[in-house]
Amino acid sequence: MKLNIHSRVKLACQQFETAVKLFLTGGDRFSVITLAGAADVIFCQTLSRRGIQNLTQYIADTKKDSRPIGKIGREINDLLHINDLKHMDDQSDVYVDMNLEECALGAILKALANYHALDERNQIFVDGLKAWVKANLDPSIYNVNCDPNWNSKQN
Amino acid sequence: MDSQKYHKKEIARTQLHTAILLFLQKEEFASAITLAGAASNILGQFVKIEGKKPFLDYARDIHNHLIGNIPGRASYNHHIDKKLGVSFLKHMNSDDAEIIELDLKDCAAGTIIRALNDYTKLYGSDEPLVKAFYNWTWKNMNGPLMMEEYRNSGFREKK
Repeated sequence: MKLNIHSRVKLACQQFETAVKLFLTGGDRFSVITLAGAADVIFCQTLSRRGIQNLTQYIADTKKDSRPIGKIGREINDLLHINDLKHMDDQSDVYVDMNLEECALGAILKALANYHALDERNQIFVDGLKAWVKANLDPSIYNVNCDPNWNSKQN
Repeated sequence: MDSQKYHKKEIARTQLHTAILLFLQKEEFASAITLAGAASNILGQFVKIEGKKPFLDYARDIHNHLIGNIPGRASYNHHIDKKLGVSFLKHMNSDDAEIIELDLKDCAAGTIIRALNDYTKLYGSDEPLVKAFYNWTWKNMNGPLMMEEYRNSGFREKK
């Protein structure tokens, strides 16, 4: 056995970067969601310890949502089916009804916002994803240019 | 693309295949741990549904053989998750340490072995990827010695 010391945020970055590689190369979408979801838990906690706002807190502030942050975070995770892909108990349905591609993209973009705020990030992955977003997503639905004054036509 | 229904058994199978690939290609062990851990949670439940003994209960029997008592299911599952590093890679509470000490490769091999124990009860062990992983363990984890130790332990699985 070769025990080594690891920083948990660095291991989370590795998991997120593997999720991005799988996503950009058309790999297994279930694994993209599970890895991005796991990494994001550690990103959120790390940002909170460093006094930096994470995406869930930002959403709560913007939407003036006063519910506990944990509850809002769980709601977002359930929307992306993050827990369905890693848990099953006696009461669980054996089927998961989901838009796999959209959930994979959502899990990646949610974690990306938090990954971007970390000193440990690898800018190549951020730039790669931004380029993918610009090339593949509808600019009337997604803010592909990261414009702070942009409004979705879906609203 | 619209919503589609996916069977959880297939979701677990896909994630476990990805974990084995990441492991055998020596690409990234932390992700292999998380994916095999996720697959394990689901596969164990299906093994139970099919009336077979899941890895967790097998491990509890070994604990009983070696130590003399049967630990609770939830607490022993949590203990194994911690031993294999699974919990450290997907959870972090406000008072948890930022630094951990792990043998990532060893933990990744362990999580995949645990998941495959349940997987092979559902799908058998004939798939090339499963055989490739078992070949790796035989060569790199001293299979002959492990089998000798098993034979000498006196432990036999109750079906």
